Amino acid sequence: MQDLIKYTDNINKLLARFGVKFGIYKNNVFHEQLFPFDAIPRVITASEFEEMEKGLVQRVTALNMFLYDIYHEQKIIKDKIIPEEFVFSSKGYLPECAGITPPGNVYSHISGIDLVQAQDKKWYILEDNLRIPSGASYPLIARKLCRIASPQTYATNAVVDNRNYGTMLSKVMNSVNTGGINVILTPGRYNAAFFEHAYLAEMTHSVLAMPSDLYVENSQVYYRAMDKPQRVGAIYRRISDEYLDPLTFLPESLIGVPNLMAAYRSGNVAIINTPGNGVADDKGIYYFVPAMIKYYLGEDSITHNAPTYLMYYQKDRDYALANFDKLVFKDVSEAGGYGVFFGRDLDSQKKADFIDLMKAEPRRFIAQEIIDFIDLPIMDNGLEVMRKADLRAFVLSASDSTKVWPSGLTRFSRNPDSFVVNSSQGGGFKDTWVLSR
Amino acid sequence: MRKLKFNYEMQLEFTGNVTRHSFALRCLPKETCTQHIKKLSCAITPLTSLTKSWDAFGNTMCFGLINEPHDSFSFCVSGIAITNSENIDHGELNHIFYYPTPQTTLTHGIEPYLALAQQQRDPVQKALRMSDELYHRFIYKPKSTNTRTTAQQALDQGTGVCQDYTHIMLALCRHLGIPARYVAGFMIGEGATHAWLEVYARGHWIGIDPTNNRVVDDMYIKLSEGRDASDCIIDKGVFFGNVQQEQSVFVKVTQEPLD
Repeated sequence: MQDLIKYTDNINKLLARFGVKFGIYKNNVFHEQLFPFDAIPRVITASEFEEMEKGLVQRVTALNMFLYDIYHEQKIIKDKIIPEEFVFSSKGYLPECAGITPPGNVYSHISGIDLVQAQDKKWYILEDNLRIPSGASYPLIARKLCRIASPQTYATNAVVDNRNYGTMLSKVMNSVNTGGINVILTPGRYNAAFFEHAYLAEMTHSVLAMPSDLYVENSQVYYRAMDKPQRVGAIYRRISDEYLDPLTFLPESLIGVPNLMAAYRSGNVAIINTPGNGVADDKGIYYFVPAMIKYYLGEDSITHNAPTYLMYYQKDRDYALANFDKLVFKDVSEAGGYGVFFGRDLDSQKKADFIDLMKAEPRRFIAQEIIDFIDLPIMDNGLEVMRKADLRAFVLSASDSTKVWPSGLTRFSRNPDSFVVNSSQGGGFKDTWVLSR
Repeated sequence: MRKLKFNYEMQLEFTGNVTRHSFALRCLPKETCTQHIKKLSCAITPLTSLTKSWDAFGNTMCFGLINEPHDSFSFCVSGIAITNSENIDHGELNHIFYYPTPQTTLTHGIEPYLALAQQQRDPVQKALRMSDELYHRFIYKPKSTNTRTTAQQALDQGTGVCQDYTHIMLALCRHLGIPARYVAGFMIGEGATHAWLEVYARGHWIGIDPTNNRVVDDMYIKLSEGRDASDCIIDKGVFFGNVQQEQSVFVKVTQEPLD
């Protein structure tokens, strides 16, 4: 391990050289910044991973069933498990997708599930990301470089190889491909995760396509190749729903593929992940995931949600008001670490304003118990210090199986007082080791 | 019951050539319990292959792509509809129609309407009462709004066209918990497309035309329905080309003797 730490700077230099960066828009200006790598891995034992895997597979299976249900019969609403306003007033619910069954009946092919480990070693789910979760490429390339820097580290530790991510991802793409090539659709190099788009295209032997490289004719999607157009069977798109097709969603989108939704509705192309998934990873819907698992699978949830209170329910709201200072509040319509704040940080004026807002728009807010999650060691100028860290696990669903990638993105906060670890907030990352014993 | 002959022509003129022109049209009237489409034809220039499909609200759509340079685009839809004066559509209720959209959200200026609606118990009567009030307060003024004007903007300025009347009514009905949907179509005597709304009550959709302050009958032909006008846009398109465009629309609906 000391050997690996010794090479941290070299690895970070190589990461910079390979363009492993994270772009951030602040005040409408695009900054690209390095995503600092810390060499001390997060270690997950084989038995711990086995338990985690069971839970995540169960969770993602139920979420996929929920998405099918919401865009078809909506039984879970009719059976009053979830109040309908949580679905219909969710920004992520796209009425344009009603009635569409995606190829292979998979909605969330790549699910990024964010977890934290509490002091009692129990893992809690912080959020589900079923739209375009990014981050798998970072531990993937870091592992590759670490193995070059310090091969003996991997000879002496029983670490499960994580370099199969590309293979797992191509399997998913092939399983839903409707005939044609696989492409990764990127909005371009000014996207926060452009490095990842390019790297995953390489790892999956897919074509990296810009929006204008694709077009729809006679309800089929084609790629403008050098010689003649090639039919596209699966699109791993890294463009959000609302920009995907200017003739269906935002008309001003310049990064969409016109009439893509028509081709998709006809069953002529798979879109990975399926448009409309935002309804299932909404922070309000999160509250209902354990109930969803029970409803669709008849099982108790193996994963644990952080104790959550829905401001929509009077009982929960009363609790949140009585325990304001010990809770964290989240605006369900925000993502990426925005719209999150701690009750104890508000002064009395702000607190009163927020309570009014919460009462006016109860559907918009959830409150959660603050989970005192464990710190992980990181190296800071040659010193080992402890910092908050979370884990994004990647769950891959092909048409016939759901698997958890034996690794994951561990993000840590560089600020000793912060619990917010999002990369868009300037944190760093670690490799995640799953041990084979 | 009436036999209506309809003809819709849309012409787009560009100031130069455009290429890679993708379009999506919601221009074909559908078969419903209130109208039977006896004859239907659709012609597009420049000639291109069309794909027919449906959107999530069951509206018929035509898609296409014209790659070759062209400086105009037009289509013509014509046919014969047999319309039913009963004005009751037994269609299913999609619960999305309970919820406001950004274009159909009203936060102020609604009290007089709600007060009047409160005097009625029946949802259709509530809607009709509000429609009557809107008809008398709101001024029909062409070109005072555009396709993106919201219900609130229109209500605040007090003028607008059929789309604005309909948006305001949709917002009011949904505010009262009455499911309501936007309808785009034609009407006898109108030289352009028309818009109205349908409210859901007692298991049926009932059409109300707030612009003319009347219930919908067999003088109307329905093209498409949705949450608001943006779900029912007749022609959507994107193309490559640095040009200006001018659109002209011609609609003619005439009554013919029943066979």
